Amino acid sequence: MSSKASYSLKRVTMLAVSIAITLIVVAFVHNPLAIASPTGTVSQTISTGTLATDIKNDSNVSVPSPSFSMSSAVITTSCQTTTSTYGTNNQRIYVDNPGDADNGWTLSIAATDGGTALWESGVDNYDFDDPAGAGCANGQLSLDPTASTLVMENGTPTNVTKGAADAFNSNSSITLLTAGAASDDIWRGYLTGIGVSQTIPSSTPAGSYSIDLTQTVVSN
Amino acid sequence: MRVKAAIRSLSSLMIASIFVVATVNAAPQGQLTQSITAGTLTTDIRDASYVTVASPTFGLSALNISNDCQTSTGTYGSASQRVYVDNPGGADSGWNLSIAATDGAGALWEDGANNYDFDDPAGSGCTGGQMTLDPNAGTLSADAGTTTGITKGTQTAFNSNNSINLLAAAAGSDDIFRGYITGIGISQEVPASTPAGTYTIDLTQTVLAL
Repeated sequence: MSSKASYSLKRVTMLAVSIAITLIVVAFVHNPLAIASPTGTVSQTISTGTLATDIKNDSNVSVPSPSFSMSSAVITTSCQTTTSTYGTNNQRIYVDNPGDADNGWTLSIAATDGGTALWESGVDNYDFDDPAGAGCANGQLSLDPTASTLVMENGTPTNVTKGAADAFNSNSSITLLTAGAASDDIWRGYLTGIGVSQTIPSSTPAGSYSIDLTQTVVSN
Repeated sequence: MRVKAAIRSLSSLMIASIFVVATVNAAPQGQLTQSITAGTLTTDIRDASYVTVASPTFGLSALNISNDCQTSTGTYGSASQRVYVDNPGGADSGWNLSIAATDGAGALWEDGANNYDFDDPAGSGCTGGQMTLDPNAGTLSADAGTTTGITKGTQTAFNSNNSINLLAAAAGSDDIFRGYITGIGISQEVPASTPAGTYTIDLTQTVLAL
């Protein structure tokens, strides 16, 4: 073999070795199975949600302007009482406690405008929280949560109790539901059919009266 | 790596716990609505407790049979039989309360087959019998509203089946009113020689919106 031929053979051999090494390296880099046991950890943070109350329909969608009609009345020169229910199947009084109030919570309701609130129809009005004359002097609104139905969507009714029948008196609030510390920490449910009655003073003029109430849920 | 993730999760929970010690949610407003409409103008006879008197009766002074015409008297409306008008916004332009014989022109004071008239002016009422009412002698009281713009009728005798106006409420009277009148004077001319008996006649009150 001539020296020229020998030199060519060496170059070919070196090229072949280089290609082989390159292929081995590429094979190792692109095949993780060939790497020994790294651990992949997936992490998930779950924190408590916010205790909330709302009025929602039967699809759990907030009702933009919930409204509850009292039984219609005719002008009378005597005191009269009209009735209704607060909370219906399509306007449910919800409490949602996604672990936010582990020591329990209280749902109450009060007039949105506080002590100055009135049933109003234009310039005509009557009161919602005056006990004078058994409520007949100026008007008084009573709620009866005991008449309602409590439905759980998540959790149990254990240690969740409905409030007692009560009348608004000098801008008080009325308790609708109470959850004790031993109640379920994660709970969602609703009330319907809270009894409502309003004494209307005699000779109240004709009109379409309304009053706004605001629900509040507070953690213990 | 697992330890790091665990620490990171624990930290997140601790931070979350700090921010949820006490929560108040006071967003939703539930509106209560109340419709009140005008009631119906009515009249009735009620007791002092505003309960309707089932069979109101007003007795005239007792008489003995006489060969002369004589007059008996009484009052229509008393404390326990009040002549009410209730206007719960049903007559904003005013109203009239009147009274007439229930049986109209054929009405008579009757006791079995015996009778005498209530609306015959002949002989100053002594020929057949005639009844006179005097609302002006009555007392008007208001349970609701005021008596402003409400006037009592004048003394009038029944005459050929007319009606007698007891009260009149003008347009300027209270639109919502409830009140009653008591002590409306009654006098009845009883013809001479009317037989003994217990005579009655039914009267009907009517209130009309103007």
